[in-house]
Amino acid sequence: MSLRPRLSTALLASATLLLAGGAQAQATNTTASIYLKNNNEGVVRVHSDAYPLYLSLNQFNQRNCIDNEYVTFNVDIRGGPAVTGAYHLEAWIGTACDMRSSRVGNSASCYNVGIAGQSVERMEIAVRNLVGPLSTSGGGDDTGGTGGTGGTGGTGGTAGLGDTGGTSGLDTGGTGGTSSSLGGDTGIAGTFGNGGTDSSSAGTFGTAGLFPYIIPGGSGGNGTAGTGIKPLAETAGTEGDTTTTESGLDGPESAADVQPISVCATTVNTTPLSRTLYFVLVDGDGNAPPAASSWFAKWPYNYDMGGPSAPTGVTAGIGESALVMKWAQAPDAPIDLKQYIFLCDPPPGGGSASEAAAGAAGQGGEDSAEEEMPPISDELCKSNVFTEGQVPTVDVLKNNVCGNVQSTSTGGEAGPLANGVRYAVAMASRDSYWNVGPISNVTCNTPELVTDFYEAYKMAGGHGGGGFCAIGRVKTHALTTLFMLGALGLIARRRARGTRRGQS
Amino acid sequence: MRNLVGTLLGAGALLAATSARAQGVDEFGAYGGLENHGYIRSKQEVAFEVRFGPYRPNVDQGVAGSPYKTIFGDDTRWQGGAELDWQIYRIPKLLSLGPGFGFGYTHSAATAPLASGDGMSAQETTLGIIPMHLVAAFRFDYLADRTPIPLCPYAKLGLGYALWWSSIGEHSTEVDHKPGRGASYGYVWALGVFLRLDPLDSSAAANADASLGINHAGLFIEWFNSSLNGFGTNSGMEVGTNTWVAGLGLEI
Repeated sequence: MSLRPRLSTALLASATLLLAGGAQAQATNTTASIYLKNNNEGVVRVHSDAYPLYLSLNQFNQRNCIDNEYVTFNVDIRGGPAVTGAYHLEAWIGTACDMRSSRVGNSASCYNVGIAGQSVERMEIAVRNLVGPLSTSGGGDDTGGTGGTGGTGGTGGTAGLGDTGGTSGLDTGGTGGTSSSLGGDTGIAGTFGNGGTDSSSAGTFGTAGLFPYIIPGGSGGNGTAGTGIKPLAETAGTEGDTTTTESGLDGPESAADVQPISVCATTVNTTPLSRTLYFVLVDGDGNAPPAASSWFAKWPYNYDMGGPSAPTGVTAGIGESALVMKWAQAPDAPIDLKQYIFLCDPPPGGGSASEAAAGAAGQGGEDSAEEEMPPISDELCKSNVFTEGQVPTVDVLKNNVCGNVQSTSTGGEAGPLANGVRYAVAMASRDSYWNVGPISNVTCNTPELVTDFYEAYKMAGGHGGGGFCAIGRVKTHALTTLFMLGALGLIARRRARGTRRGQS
Repeated sequence: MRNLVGTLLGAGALLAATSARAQGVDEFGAYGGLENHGYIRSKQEVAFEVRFGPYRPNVDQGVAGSPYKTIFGDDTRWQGGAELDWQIYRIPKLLSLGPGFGFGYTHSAATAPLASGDGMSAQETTLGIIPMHLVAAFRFDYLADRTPIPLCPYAKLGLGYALWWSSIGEHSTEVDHKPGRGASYGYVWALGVFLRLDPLDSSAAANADASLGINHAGLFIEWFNSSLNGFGTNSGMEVGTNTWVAGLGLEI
């Protein structure tokens, strides 16, 4: 039986199937569907911190939150004008946000973080919204909560390193969360004072009384900021002390929709948490298109908003160009504790005390003179730039880190340091999300010259050393002997074989 | 005399009869004579040793003062290592001769004194050594193979070579921009004795031979001497030692 009839039949059947498949694909294209484009194109992120390579695209740390990072999402809405003309894109975080019943106001399970206009396939979402609370109490849509009285601002940032610094800090906090169409979520519970008013640089923002982290104030023309606090978002200082409300489902996305900076601190989780971001295609009433094949897309992400506790019992012993650190792991160390960092004041790098201290004086502005830090006192062990219990500032992390070790260690060396200079040293922990926790106890010591074994050996007249290859003429003797022994072995083996053959 | 001959002949007859039976190893062990003291052995080619013992390098020889003792004190430092001997020339039940290569590792550490002499720092200074040797190993098997005494005396003679390095804290040390690490050469010799454990359980020994090819297993102890001073030139750090070494040995 010939194969040709069978082949023809098979080809015909295949063609029919293909045609049917094509028709089916066309039919599918007419249904509404939404897809998050692939990661290179669909999720675009610009890291603000110095460690972008250590975080995945869908991981957020406290720094990302404080710096008010935004993530841009690009989705693909399919279905043609009939779909894009009737439905728009919304972004929600929470659980089962694809269900209409979950997207009622900002319920406990889902929180709206973005609404786009019709035919818009791009959305920018603030990290603060992604990590903030899923729900707020208070009024309904567009009613806005009543703002509370602003809290008292913290003390101003410690004097900047330039000639002006934040000396104020007694300003009252926010003006109170005024009721607004955007809701009271713009307020912050008096956490932030407006800081010193006498400077355009450091001290612009007072140190938060309740805020557990400290980050530098704006960089002024007179030197890097001291320990002021980062400017608040656009809503700084306005606060609802008891109630905040959602921004309204139909309100335009704006800066005011962004969670306040306080969520970066109040949403403290020292171990990573997971959430899911939903992009849904809905009409004005929040309903999904009927018979939609895929009317929502999901993007899971993780966030960690708190640094690990500091190690305890930190001590610093004398070393050469280094201080030998010893410590114990904090009992509440999180599972994602990554490493310990050493902080030195004056900063590492060697040189004299004054040179080292000058390094911490910041980059002066045009009209500022460099101000040297006072040397670390012999009597009072205290750093000029970091304090126990505080989270190190960006400047401290930039200038004063003098080593790090893995989290499994309980000892290490801080350096390179200048011998004869007294240093204040401390430690902080860092987690896998690159969050840095508060500073440990501060201890002081002075590196000195030591006599190591090799130095003692050389002082005793020893000739050895200089590298593994520094062996001189002895090498030839040794190799010659080696070859001779090898040759003797081979000769012996050959003779043994010859003897065996003769016997057999 | 007649009795002795008779005994030997009897033993020979027994041996012949035993070898005529089927031999092998199954789940119950060796049979057919293999279980009886291992008269029939697989081919023996190498000896392998796992070595352990104290190691105090003779650094203080050939230099003024005693830098090693000053820094590291008198505490005993230990070494661990291994050696493989190729029994290239072998007269069964008499002796074997062949090259062997061994290596070890030892490490000394102590807190370094302050250069000012005012006490000790908190920083650790170390000396790490990887001693190696290439020797001709002579093993005398006669006693163990032909008498009830399960001892095999042996001797080794050859070249020694060691890599060493020193550090201070977390860094390697240097003096006048010369790093504190190097290599040392010299000769080594050792005298020791190997105690076969086969007689303790001849059936197990036979099984090990039949199934794994292990001819003999035992313990050894030796006196090991290495002089790594560049054959007397003092061109390198003398990190040789005079010490005893013990361990487990296998002849395969």
